[in-house]
Amino acid sequence: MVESTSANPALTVLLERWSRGDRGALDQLLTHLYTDIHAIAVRQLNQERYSSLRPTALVHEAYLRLASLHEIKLQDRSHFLSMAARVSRQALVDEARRRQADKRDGGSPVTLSDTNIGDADQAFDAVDIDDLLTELERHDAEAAEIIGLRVFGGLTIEEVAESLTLSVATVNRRWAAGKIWLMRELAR
Amino acid sequence: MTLGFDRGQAFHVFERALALSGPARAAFLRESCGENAALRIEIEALLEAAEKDQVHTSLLLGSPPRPIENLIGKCYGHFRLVELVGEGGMGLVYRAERTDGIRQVVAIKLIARELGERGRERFYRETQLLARLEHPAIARLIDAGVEAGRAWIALEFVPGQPIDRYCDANRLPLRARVALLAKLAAAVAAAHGMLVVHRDIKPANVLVTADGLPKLIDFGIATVLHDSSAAQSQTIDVGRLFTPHYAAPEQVSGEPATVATDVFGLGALGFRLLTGQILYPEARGVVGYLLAITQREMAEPSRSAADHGDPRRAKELRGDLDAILCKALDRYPSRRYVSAADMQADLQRYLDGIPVSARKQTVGYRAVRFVHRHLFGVSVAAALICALTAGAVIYGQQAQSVAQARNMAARRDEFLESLLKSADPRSGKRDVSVAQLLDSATQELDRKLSGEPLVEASMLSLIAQTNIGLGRYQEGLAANDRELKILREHGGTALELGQALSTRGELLREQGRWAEADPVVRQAVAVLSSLQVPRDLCGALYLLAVVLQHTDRANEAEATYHRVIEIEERGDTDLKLQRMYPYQGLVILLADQARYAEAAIYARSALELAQKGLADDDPALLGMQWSYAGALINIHRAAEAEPLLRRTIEAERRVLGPGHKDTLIAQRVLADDLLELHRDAEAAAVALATARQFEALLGMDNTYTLAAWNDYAAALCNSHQEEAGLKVLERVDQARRKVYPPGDRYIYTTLLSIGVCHLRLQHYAQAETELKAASQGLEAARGSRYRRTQQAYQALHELYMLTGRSEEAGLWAAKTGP
Repeated sequence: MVESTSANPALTVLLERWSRGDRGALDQLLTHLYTDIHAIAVRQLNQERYSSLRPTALVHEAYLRLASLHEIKLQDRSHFLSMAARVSRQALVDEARRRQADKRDGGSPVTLSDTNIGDADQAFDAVDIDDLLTELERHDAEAAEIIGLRVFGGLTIEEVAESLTLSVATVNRRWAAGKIWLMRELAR
Repeated sequence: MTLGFDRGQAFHVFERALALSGPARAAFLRESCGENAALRIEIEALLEAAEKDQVHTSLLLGSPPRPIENLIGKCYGHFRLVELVGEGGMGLVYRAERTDGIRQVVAIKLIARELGERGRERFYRETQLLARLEHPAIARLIDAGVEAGRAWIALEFVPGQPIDRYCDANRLPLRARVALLAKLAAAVAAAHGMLVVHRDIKPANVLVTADGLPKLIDFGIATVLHDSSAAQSQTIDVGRLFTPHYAAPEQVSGEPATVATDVFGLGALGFRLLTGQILYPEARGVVGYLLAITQREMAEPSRSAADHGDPRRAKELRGDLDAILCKALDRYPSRRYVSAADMQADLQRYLDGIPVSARKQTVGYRAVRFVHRHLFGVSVAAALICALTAGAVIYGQQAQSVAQARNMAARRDEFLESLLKSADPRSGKRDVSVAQLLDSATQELDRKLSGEPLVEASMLSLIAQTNIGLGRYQEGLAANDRELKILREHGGTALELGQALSTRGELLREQGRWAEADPVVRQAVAVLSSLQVPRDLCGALYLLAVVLQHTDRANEAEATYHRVIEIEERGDTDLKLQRMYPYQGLVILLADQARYAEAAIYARSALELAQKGLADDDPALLGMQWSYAGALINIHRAAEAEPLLRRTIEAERRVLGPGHKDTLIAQRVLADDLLELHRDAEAAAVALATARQFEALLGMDNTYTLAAWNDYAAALCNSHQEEAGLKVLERVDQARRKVYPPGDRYIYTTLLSIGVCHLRLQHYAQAETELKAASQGLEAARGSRYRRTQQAYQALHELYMLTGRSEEAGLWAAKTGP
């Protein structure tokens, strides 16, 4: 990591409180995380205007930066990653919508690659994925959550299972179906 | 695009179906999809994707989502399964060996679908036919049977790899690829000689052995399994039995496969092998391909190669190979190679360095088109005038002899020629002289033909029709009145009466006098139905559909359009061409129901038929152009529509005149397009001019005039001249309440515009009431996906955002779709 957020001691405190079970610390932590991930995303988007973002890398970068500040307990890792994945989804989609609305940006879309679906370098529109998951949520929140964590956070099957307290077999099965559905809808 | 089902729901059904198999799955699908064919197609496609993904998924995840039945060692006919070697769209494929001591390795295909009794009969019949098919480049069908309800086919086992991978892995030079394609074309031609069509030519179905011999596999299998007896299968097959990027347009639209379909398949395969690209690579999925192939121009092979950074290959392709592939890939089956043998011959000519036929014909075709264009440079109206002045007697069917008729025809041609020479089709003055000619002819009639009433009637019929073409409806009605009177008094034939009634219906339709048109058109249909005159009957039925459509009987109208299409499809080439009119009717009808994607497909089809059969400045073709442009606006492609519209308007002004209704409608579409592109000032200017012209032509209390004024007001409102806009809208509102029945969507469209004006003026309370009423009214009249309904939602969302009521804003935002 080139940059470090170690200048922000508040994060350390928040993480500590959160890992002790203080849920109130979570909101603040999420705000920091959002700002952080959004900033990384925007920077990357501006630098590599025509390539797409890799959300997995984004989430893991956020994780590593925070983890370097504080030793997150191992079992918390997946919880943290799932949280980061949700935040990342929000940040990326917000940014994409802002770009759509802002005419000066030419409405260039935010695309994601390395998303666990399709080939690693296949790029998908972040807003499209978000829309689909929102639609799916109404019918099947659990499936939407699993897909979201896989796509926007790059979590492994095991990490997803752990963070949602589901069996690995269930996640495997649901993800297999979800991936096919998502691929097809995105190809529409 | 309206999908016809909720995507979340599709996932739900799909996931459950995935856990089931065989009859349990079929029963579950029947139950959960019910009558929803769109959902059914979607689930089938998802399941098929899952089937393809299965091996891969199981490798990736360690545990397969559902166990594959272990069939190794089982026997089918004389064969024992040895090894699972793959799976296709039809089912699993095994390597198998003979059990009776003879050394023979075959590929056994187990068909996943269950066959009914009729399907089974067909299966045996077709496989017997296929077993006779022998060609070195076709994998032979060795045996087939049904075991425990499950059909299996034993095919020659081909140890090889798919042709695209083979070519790429061995970096085959272009000539070698062309040679492979030529061999395949010869094989396909041989099969066609035995009346077998492949239907699914694609790289996965062409294996190349280590010796470099190509072999087509699954020849005719698609036909064998195509169970045309099941009524529902037609729709479902659309999703199942074609492979995007290789399927021909007629397959995509569900028409039966022919020899020309395989020619297209060879072309698509060639395109992939020679350019390295697939057709319409940007199109995703079945639906994406469907839209692309019906709406977009294909990239020339050389251009495709150039676009993908292979200028050397592009140079090699330019010329002959471009011509060969384009001819094979023509959207219209009739313009492709007549046979695979012809295509093979052309490929061989290329290899031998002899000029190819595809190219020569392209030049010839262009020459033909050129002549065609110039012949039709003179409008239909002028041609009719010609008949009027030179051949009045012929039209009365009183020609005394063949010689006389020939003489008349010669005089008509002479006249046409002189007209061609004197009148520049681009001068725009022609209409005036035609109108003058018409008037003097009408006057002359009385004097010259008063003793021959039926001849006079037929002339009046021509005058009435010509006046329709010129947009002179009052004059047309006057002539039609006289004609009908004569026919009734002097006993005209049923055909003449039916035609005259149709003309009357048309005149009334052109003026938007729907209520009056209804009984007239029904009478015409009744009279013509009893005669064997499909062309006239279609004309009258088409009119009826239009009237139904404009009097809010959309379902009846849609059915009537399809009835017209059905009759026309059975007719000769010319009648087939007429399908463009009902297609276009469907465009408007579907757009009204917010079925925009379907509408765009029909618009494109109509335009293509028109381009195929009409001259470049034929008014009907121009009509198809602005109709297609309108469809493009609805599917968010307004920018593409603009140049098309400007060209169309320019041509219509030239051909029809600047004040003609069609010209004005095209201007309305342009105003709409500019609004959509947020170029409000330009939109306002166009809309104002159009509204004034409409008012001059048809009066204020007319649906067209009012729509144009409404456009103008909307444009004013968007360009910050809300007060002026409101004044116009008040006039429109009053007039529309007179013209339309209560609850009509157009009354709410005005209300929507008024609401938006108040919103811009920050009269929020007033705007809120108006917009809510408009959104409810529009929703009730046309549904929530209707463009105007969506605009109402959008405006409400904006209103609540501006007034800080974000919760309500969110509610309305949620109702707005893509």
